[in-house]
Amino acid sequence: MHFQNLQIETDALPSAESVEYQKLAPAYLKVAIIGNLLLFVFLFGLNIVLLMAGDWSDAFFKLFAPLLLLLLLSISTALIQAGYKVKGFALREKDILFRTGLIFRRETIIPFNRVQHCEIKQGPIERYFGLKTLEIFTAGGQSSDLSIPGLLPEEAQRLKDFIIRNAAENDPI
Amino acid sequence: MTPSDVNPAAFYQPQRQSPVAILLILFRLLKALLRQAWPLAVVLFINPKSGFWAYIIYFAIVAAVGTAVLSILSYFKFFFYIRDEELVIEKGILQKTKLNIPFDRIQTINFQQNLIHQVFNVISLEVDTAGSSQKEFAISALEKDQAEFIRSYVMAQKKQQEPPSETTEAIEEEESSPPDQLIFKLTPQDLLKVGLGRNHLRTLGIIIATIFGLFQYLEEAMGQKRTIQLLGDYFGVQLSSIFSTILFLLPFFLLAAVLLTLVNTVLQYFDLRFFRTTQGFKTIAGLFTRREQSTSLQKIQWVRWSTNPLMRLFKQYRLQLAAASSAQVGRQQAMSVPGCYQAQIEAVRQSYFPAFAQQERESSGISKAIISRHLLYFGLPPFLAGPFITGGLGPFDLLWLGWIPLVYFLSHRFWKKWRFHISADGLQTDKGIFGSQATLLQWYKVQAIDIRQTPYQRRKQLATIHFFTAAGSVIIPYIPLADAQTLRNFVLYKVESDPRKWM
Repeated sequence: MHFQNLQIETDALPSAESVEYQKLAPAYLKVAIIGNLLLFVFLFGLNIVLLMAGDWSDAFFKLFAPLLLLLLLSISTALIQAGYKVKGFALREKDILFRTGLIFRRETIIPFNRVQHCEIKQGPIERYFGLKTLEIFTAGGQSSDLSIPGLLPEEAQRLKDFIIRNAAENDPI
Repeated sequence: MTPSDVNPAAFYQPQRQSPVAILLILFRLLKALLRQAWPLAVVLFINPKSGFWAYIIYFAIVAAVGTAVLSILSYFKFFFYIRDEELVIEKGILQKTKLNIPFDRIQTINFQQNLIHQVFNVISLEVDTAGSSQKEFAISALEKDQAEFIRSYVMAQKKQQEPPSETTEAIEEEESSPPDQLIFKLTPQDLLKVGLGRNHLRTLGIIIATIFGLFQYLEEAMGQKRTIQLLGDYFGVQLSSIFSTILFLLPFFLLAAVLLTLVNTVLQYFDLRFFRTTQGFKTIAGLFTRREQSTSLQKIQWVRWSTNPLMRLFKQYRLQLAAASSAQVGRQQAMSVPGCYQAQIEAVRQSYFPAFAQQERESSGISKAIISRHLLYFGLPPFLAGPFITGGLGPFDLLWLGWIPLVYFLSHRFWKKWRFHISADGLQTDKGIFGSQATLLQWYKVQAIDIRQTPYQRRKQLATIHFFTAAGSVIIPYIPLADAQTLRNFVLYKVESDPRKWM
C-alpha cells in the first residue's frame, strides 16, 4: 500500500507504534501467579475427590493426572512471568492503547470519543495486594472492551477520570 | 378510526390488550408444548402399545385445559400504560413483573402480524431499546390504530426531549414527511430464484441431524436392528448399518432439503417490500407472519452484499444492513434483503456512503503467506487423521491423498479473491471462494481497533487488523505490519477528528 490518495500525509499522523508502553505494577505479577495457582489447587482438589470416589488403584488419577497438572502449572507460571513484560498500556491525547499476549500478540486502541463508560474493579487477590483493574467499554462489543489490570488505586482513578473527561469533551453530541 | 382519533389520555390508565391476545398466548403455549412432545408422538405412532393411548389422551386433555387457563389468566394479568415519559408493562400470574422503558431509551417500535393477527386485524408491538436490558418488551395484540398511536406518540415525545439544535431540523423533515418510497419488491419469480439460490447444504445438515435424533428415539423404542430393518423393508432394500442407511437416504434428503428451503423462503420472504423511509430503510415480508423491520440510516454501521454461484446465475445478491445492536451484543440486528439486483445495491450504497464512489481508492490484496497457514491448519491434520477415521488402508483411504491439493486450491482462490479498497472516508472488502461477499464500512463508525499477530505473523512481519463497530467487526487478515500500523494511525485520526455521531 502507498496511502497516496487519502488526501492526507500519513507520515505526518501521530504514530501509535512509537509510543512507550507503561508496564503494569510489579505486584500484578504476584496477583496473576496466585490466581493461576488457585486454579490448579482447585484442579488438584478435584483430582483427589475423584480418586477418593473411584478406585484407589486407578493409575490415571493417581499418577498421570497429577504429573500433567504439575507440568501445566509450571508452564503457565513461566508464561505469565514472560507475558508480564509484554503487557502494558499507553495513554495518548485522544486514545488509549493496551498491549497483551506473549504468543498471540494483540494491541487494542480505543479512541476516547467512542468510550461508553468505565468501571474500576477489584478482586480478592487484587485487594490483598492493593491493586485495581480498569475496564473500558465501547459499543463495539465484548471483544473490543479493554480490561487493564495491575493498576494502583490512585492511578486507576486518574486514568478513569482522564478518559471520562475526554470522552465527554470529544463527544460529538 | 385513524391514529389521531385515539384519545391519548386513555393510555395513562392501565390498559388490557385486545382479547385476541388470549388466542395468541394459547397458540404460543401449544407450540412450545408440541415442540417438546413431538418425538414422543412419532414413537407412539410407529410403535403403538394399546394401553398407552389412554394416557396420551388424558395428557392431551390436561395440557389443553392447562394452557387455556394459563392464557386467559395471563391475559387478565397483563397491563400496559404510559406514565412519566415511560412505557410500562405489568404482567405475571404468580410472579409479578413490572417493566419500565423510558422514551429516550426506545430506539424503534416494530410491528408484527402473523396469520391470527391478520384475521382479527390486530398487531403485535415490540419495543427495541438501547442499553443492556435483556427483558423483552412486547405487547402481543393491539388494535391497529392503538398500536400506531403509541408508536407515533412515543416517537413524537422522544423527539421533544432531544436537544433543540437537532429537533428543528428533524421537525422540518417530519413536516414535509414524504411517504415511504418503494425501492424493491420481490416478485414471485424472484422469490423462487431466492429460494433456489439459498444454502441447501445447511438445510441438509439440519435434516440429517433431526433424522439422527429421531433414529435414536426409534432405537430406544425398538432397538437398532429392528429400526434399520423396518426402514429397509419400507424402501424394499437391504440395509446393514446407520451409515449405509443415511447414505441410501441422501438423495431423498437432498430433495427434501431443497423443498424445505423453498417453503421456508416463501414463508419468510413472500411479497417482500423494501422501502426507503425518511429515517432510513424498512422491510415488510412474510406469508403468514408479516414482519416489519425498520432501521434508521444513522444506526447502520456497515453494509454487506453477497452472492453464491447459483445466485450469480440469477444476478441476485443478498443485502445486509448491520444496525447498531440495541439490546445485547452478539444478537446482531442485520436487516437482510435477499433477491436484490445491482441497481438496489447501488442505491443502498449511495445512501449509506455516497462519497465512496467518487473518492479515489487504493486497492490491495492480502499476503500469500495465508495459504501456507491454511495448509498447516486445515490441510495437514485431516490428512494425517483421515486414514484413522475411515479405518486402515483400503481404497477409500486414497481419497485423503486429494485433501491437501484441495485445501491448496481453495486457499489459493481465497487469497486471490481477497481485496480491500481504502478511501479517505471508508473501506470496502471483497472476499469469497466460490461466492463473493463485499462489505462497505465508513471509518467514523469504528469503535476500536485491534492489531493481532500470531508467532508466524510476527516472523513474517504480518498482522491482522480488526475494526470493531457497534454491529460486529470488519477484519483484514495477513497484511504487512507496517501497512496495518499506517492504516490504524489513519483510521484513528479519522475517528478522532470526525464530528459526526456514529449512531
